[in-house]
Amino acid sequence: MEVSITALHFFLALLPIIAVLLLMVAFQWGGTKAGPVGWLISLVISMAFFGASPTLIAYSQMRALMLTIYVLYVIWMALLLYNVINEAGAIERIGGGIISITGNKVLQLLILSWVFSSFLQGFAGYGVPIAVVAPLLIGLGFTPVTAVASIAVGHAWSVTFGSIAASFNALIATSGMAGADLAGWSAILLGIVCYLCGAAAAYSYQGWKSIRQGLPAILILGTAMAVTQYWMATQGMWNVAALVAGIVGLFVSLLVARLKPYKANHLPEKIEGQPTPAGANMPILLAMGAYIILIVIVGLAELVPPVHTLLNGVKLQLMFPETQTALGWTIAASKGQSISVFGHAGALLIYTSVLSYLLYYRAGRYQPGAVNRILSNTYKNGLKSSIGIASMVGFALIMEQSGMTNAIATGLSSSIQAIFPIMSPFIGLLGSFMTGSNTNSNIVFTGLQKQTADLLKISPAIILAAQTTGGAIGGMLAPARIIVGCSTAGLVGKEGLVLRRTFVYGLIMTALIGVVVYFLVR
Amino acid sequence: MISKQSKPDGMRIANKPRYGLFLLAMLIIPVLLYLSAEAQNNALVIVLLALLSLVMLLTTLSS
Repeated sequence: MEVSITALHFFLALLPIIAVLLLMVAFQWGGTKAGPVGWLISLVISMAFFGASPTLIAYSQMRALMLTIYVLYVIWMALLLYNVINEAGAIERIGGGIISITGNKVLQLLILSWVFSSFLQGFAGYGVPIAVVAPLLIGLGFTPVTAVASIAVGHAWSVTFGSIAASFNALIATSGMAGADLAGWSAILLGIVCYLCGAAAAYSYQGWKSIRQGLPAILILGTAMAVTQYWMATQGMWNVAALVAGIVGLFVSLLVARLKPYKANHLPEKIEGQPTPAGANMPILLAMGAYIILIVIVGLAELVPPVHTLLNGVKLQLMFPETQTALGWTIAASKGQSISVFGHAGALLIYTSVLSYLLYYRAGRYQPGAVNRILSNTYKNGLKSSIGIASMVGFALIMEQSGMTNAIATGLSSSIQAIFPIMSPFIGLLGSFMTGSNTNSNIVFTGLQKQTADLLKISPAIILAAQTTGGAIGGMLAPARIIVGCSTAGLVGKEGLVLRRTFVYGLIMTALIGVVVYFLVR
Repeated sequence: MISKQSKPDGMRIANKPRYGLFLLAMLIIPVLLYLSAEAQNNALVIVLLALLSLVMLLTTLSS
């Protein structure tokens, strides 16, 4: 059924987003405080102006709960793994290891926030790279805001083909197009974003000075990762395109560190009387042990079919009936978010945490009371972030199910057809901003984007590439993701400080991609 | 005159947000909402929605 969207609906639908952005960016509210306000505003508007019934809202909140559990499963277990590693002193040791590769701060930042985080995104998404890498950067002396912002920005290019290409597979499924037709353009646009991510990550440290210093590394590493991702994706191996690009990036980093501008090692001098860090005498291989275990477990779970099938045998999923608003916006009966109890990324992080604990315990790396500290720190960091995420996902689902998100996207695409290609990545970005997920953005907006591209007789493959690229960029300014990143960086409640930076980078990148798309479809 | 800083500890602890409780409410109320919607009990759905709104409001005010 066609839904008539007026300008008033368009602006009303934007209100909760504007309110949350304003509160977080201008007033520096945390996600815990701003999320519930967004939830309340979207509830009132959806019922008063979009004709959402209490029953529709009830179902939307159960859908939101399933998505929240899906996300929190990863977050809590990423926090657990982080505390298991940190308590053993391994994070300090890895930081020392990076310093020994290069003493150049800009290259250290690029290797961790851009290359290593993209490698992690290759198999574990939704904030895991930020939650895991931020403490490493803070350990190297970067401020928490710079650490979280640079990682949020740095790994965005690898989101679509990361996490075993979940977002790209969603694009294929919802568009009905062949993966081979979509892979090339998606990899090209994401390749451009790859360079921009490196530049933005460097900029987040010391502005243009860092970009100048990091330029050779940005160009070499960017080319290595973007070309690898393009080649893998166009060869039909898009499921591991970002993962392999990240691995190539890590190897090339070792070579880049030998270049003249980065070669000099400035190892920190030992200051008399200063206590030796907990992990100072730990072999680097042992310190990296937890990450090696993580890679092996995720590799087994995702790439070995019998293991994958075994782990994904138990899934929680609910069936939801069709709902319709008074304006006629219909959501067909469908299954909600599926949660694989033993095969979910969170479950893989539990296995990794347990094995890592045993590894460090046998190596004698823990002080008495370590288990209590690991668990209590995990609880303290996880709790506040979880409230922010629960309320953000709740209001995103109210907007989606009541047709508010669609009103914004329709408004953007129909009122400005002449510059639709420029707006196309912004629609992808909007979906990601709302849900914190490139996959969800692709699920929600692929149909709309393809339909508009067909109407305007422009290449749907390019427009859908723009959709998923915008969605990938959107993750860096999605409050739900920023909250995850801040949870291990000691920035809980100060997410606005990070969002203020990533918001600007994200909008600039999306606008640049929009201009590229505009010229591509002409 | 009692300054802000001189509030007794007990008062500060009492004012501390009860995040665990709020999170629990945000996880349980949607389940009850779903069950009520499935049972087509509209009155209960409205009551639970009002309760969830109150939890959201209290969360913001307590943060």
